[in-house]
Amino acid sequence: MNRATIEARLLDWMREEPERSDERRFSELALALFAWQFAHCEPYARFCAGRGATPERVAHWEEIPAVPTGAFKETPLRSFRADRTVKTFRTSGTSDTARRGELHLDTLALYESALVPSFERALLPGFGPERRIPMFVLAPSAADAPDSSLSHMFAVLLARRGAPESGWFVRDGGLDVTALDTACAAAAEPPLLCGTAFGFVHWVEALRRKGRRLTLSPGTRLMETGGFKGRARERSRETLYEEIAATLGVPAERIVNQYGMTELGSQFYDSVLASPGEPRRKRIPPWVRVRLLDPVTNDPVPDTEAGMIQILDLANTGSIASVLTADLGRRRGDGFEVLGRDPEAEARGCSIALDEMLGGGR
Amino acid sequence: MVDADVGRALRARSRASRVEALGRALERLADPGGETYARLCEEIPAATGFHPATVRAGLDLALAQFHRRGLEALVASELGPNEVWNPANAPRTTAVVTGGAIPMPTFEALLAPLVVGSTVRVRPGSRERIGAGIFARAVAAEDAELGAAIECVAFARDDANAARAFFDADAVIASGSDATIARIRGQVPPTARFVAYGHRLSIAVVDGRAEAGLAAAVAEDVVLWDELGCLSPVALLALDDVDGWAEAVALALERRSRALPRGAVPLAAAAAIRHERDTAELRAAADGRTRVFASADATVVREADARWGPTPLHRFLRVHPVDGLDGLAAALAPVRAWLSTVGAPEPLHPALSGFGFRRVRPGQMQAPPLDWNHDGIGTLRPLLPHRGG
Repeated sequence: MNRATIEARLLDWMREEPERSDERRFSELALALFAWQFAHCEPYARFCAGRGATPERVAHWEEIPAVPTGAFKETPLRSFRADRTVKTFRTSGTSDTARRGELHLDTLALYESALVPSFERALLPGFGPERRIPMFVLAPSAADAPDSSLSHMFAVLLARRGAPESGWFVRDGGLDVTALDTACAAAAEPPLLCGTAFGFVHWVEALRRKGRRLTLSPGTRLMETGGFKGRARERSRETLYEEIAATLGVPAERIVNQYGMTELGSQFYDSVLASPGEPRRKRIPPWVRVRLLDPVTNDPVPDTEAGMIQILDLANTGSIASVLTADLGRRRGDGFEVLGRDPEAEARGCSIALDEMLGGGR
Repeated sequence: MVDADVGRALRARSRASRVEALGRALERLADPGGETYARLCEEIPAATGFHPATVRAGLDLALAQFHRRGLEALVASELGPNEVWNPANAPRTTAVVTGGAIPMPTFEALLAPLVVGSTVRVRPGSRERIGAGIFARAVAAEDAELGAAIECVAFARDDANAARAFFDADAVIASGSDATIARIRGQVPPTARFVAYGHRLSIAVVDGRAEAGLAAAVAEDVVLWDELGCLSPVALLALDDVDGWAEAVALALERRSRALPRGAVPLAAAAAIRHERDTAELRAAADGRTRVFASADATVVREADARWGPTPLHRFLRVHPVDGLDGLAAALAPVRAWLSTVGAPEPLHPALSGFGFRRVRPGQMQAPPLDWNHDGIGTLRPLLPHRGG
């Protein structure tokens, strides 16, 4: 199966309503994609061969070697000719010494097709396909941040589902709080606020400094993403949600966290709006598999235990589909929860990890 | 709360008397045949997850520096003769928050206030939580009056009232991450002296052809305390023969780990090690120069350049090539502000003298003398900032 065929079948799958998990289809496409990437990405082929994993020997998708997210900072991981690159997304860099991870794409079609259904199912359940909503984005625009996958994602979603009053509220590196307050007050219907967690921290703190509290419409939805690593004002997600509820009037059950990363074509959203009343968990798109692994044995951990998050994302056709993150997670029903990177950091030795000092490191 | 009479009695004693008693307490602590030493060997593994054999080896090396002469040398180097030191500047009460995983910094943090005549209350860290109690008992066994001046307390992190009472002291000594230090700083009264030991890192430097004895010494510095101390090397910079050094140190680490196995590795640390190992393997597949030497208890990555990478600790060592001393200087530039100690063979020490960090022989990095200039701050001096005033 060549890549064009794989992508055509994936595009069909992404457009299916209702979404449908299909183990046989996943397995077939995953093995075909592995064979393609093995043949077209030389460093990955050598990496896999070093582990005895070749297309001839790999019989099940779980045997496909995963590349660590750190590898995307080391070498271009593309399964196409470099001169066909149409877009490169880069991870955020927090210091001069930090290398940035890169996702190279030779087509945006699959990338954009993958992001829409997951977003719509998580944030706009019950909305008709043509209905638009005011979307206020607490992130730089795609024009201001052309290598940000997050800004690109928001641009696609704004174009597809945003009402005319939608817009970007991070300008010149800062959050335009006044414009955001005004837009919320003027919105014709409850808006969807989306952006980085740190953008919301800025907004909440700006309102607090002014002694203000907003009471946004009861139907307001909020989607936040990203962490606080390396930020001066770190806080837990629970604390942030409490602050948002107290300052913006949006309760936690209407706040959806997105777990995504530059290295992946697909994203994972909290289930709170799609499955109200059920435990919060990250939903997994049908064309993705998430495994939670023991970092020493590489075996899956029991469902009640935490493990390293490994993701096999078929939307990553042009790079590498199987990715090992540095995050820990735990299975939650048909989804999972993300526990973060280092919950035991405080108990570690007094020698600080270099990446913390250097703001992201290698 | 330490009784006020105890504090008065402590201050009324001469410094020499306090130092003499504390010196005896240190020697009790460091006596390999003694009961206190046995308790350390027994209780530290259970409290910290370090392997008992590794704890024993670490204590054997480090506590050999804990003796009365060492304490006198510390006092002499930091405070000078009595007549130029004004005891009126000493804090009467000192609060100590310990961090990290190994006990020696705890001992030093408790020692300092007692030397200058201050009572101490200590809140042990979450991982190294037994050193303070054992130290207090060792002091009390030698000198009941000094022993009564140490109080170990425990309270929940979110207990604001307890924290307020704890930090209501003339001086506060704290060690930990930048975030921990910042959090503590916010709780310290503005009138108190705040002595903070933030996170630091150490490295090793070698030159010439790889040599098994020196490689074993570097491995020893990594193995002790599972690389979790701020004096543990997180990287080896090789001026020559980087392949040879990486291979030799990897072999030495594997061998030494048979006798001194690595202790418990938290899940997050195990995940970080796995991630960095796999990343290095991918890099090796791409550049052909990176090499990964992985054994059950240790990882050595022969890097292709001097660019720093994440340090998962728990016996994970990167070996970088550097091009001469200029290359070394360039490599160290990004981390210079955090550098504590460099392990390097003695013939290299003069060439490294201009760099400003502490230089010791490989194999001795985990055995600083009591009078080492801790983080460039010192141990006693920061409690008496107005020396002679």
